[in-house]
Amino acid sequence: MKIDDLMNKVGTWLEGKGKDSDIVISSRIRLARNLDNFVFLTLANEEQKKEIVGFIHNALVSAKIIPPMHYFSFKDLTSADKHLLLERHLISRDHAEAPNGVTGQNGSRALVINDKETSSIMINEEDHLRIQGLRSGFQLAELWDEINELDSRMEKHLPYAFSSQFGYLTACPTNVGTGLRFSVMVHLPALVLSKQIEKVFQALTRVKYTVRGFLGEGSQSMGDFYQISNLVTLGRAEKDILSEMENVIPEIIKYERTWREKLLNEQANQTKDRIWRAYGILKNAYTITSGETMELLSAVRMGINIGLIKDLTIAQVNEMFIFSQPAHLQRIAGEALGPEERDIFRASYFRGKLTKPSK
Amino acid sequence: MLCKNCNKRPATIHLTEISHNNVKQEIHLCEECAQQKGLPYKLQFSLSEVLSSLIEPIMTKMGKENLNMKCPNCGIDYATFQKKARFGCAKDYEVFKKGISPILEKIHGATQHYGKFPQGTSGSGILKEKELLDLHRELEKLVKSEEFEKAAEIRDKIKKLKTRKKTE
Ligand SMILES: [Zn+2]
Ligand SMILES: [Zn+2]
Repeated sequence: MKIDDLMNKVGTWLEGKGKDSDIVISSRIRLARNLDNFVFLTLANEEQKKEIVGFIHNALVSAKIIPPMHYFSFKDLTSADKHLLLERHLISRDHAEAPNGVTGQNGSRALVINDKETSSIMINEEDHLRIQGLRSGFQLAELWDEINELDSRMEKHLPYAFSSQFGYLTACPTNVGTGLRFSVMVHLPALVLSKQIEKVFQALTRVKYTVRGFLGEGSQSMGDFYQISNLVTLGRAEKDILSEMENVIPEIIKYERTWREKLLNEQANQTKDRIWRAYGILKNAYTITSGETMELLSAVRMGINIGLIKDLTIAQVNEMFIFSQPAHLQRIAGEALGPEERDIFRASYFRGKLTKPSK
Repeated sequence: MLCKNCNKRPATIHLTEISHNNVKQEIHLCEECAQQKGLPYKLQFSLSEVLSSLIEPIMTKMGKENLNMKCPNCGIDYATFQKKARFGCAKDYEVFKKGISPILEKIHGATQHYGKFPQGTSGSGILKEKELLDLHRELEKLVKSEEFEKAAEIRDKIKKLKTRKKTE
């Protein structure tokens, strides 16, 4: 598998299937793990980092995890490749933007992914290992089973840093214990429009959840997409964290649905205007920025959900989200584009996609 | 610094926005303007900022002699941990135990792991610990629901397991 192969398909987590996929874009799990016999990455030098990468690579090969999963050393990836992986949500911003080593060859980080892009393993991000699972819609339980099994297989070949008091030991005290973070990406346009969103945030913060933007840590939300994650990782079993999340998220989904109905009943013309106007711009404009894209696609997505727009599917919108980001666009163009050129190319990409929508 | 929106009140909220074309942009707002914009500003403070503010008061309570604690494995001292809010190696959890328990209590509301245990290379000692933990947890639940007879059974099981552990 090559990085370019990612351009020929959309990860299965984007297919817009799965429970509540009108509101929940994706479910994500992350497990933080470290090795007992190496210092953490806060202190490791380039040599040690390379040793860790080599050690983990060998273990994953003997565990028969690579192959079928595919291994990418960062020394073989360009900055454009890494941004493509970031836009695919397969690596974190930190992993994508890590500076290359002194020699300009960064062999101290790596990534392992499967064909469907539903599981990935980041090597040497903040922890030695970050095991990640990604699915379309609200599917935390299925996802947990898959990632738990992968982790258990790895555990037999890797000496994880573990203490019976503190659980899985991590570089940052916020991840210790289970090392488990569930994140659900939700689309909440009606709650944003009705200014109810702040209430939701406050309620979530009180029960120790965090809310972040589209691209995770440190990113501001754009286009009404939010990532909700658990904050507590210590003192609760994985199943308890899971079942709590399975109680909290449906409440938010219900709240969003109520407000969508309310908006459609009480502000029908404004709501319809907003949606059709957005669709019109996407179909006809000659330059569109990435920030504007998020807002337009958000409105169109809601339009499909409430049955207004009938010639587009959620899967198509999800695909446009990913492929209209800078690194993806430049792959399609086959060349590097400056910001303005990108906005023009982005608009022509949308016109091409939307003039003859495939059913 | 004044708020960039109203230019009147002092800016107390500093956000980094990943805006158009992936350009990072600093935004400085006062609390009122941030609220008007509906920004979830309280959630945007960086984690290490929050951590340092948690760790500092705990440090002064711990007394000076503890601040010089140093991990014999990786060499970081408590002051460095406090500054970076990151550990240097797995041993630090044991070395700085006294200092980190109150921090974990603040972050997670707990200091004891109740989740998955490694089944692999780490040996059976850890699994026995897990069994004990599960029993303790069950005991807690039974006492809460006032099922004292069952609770007594569990208590005896715990006793047995503990003596077995000692003789091993
Ligand atoms: Zn202001
Ligand atoms: Zn150490």
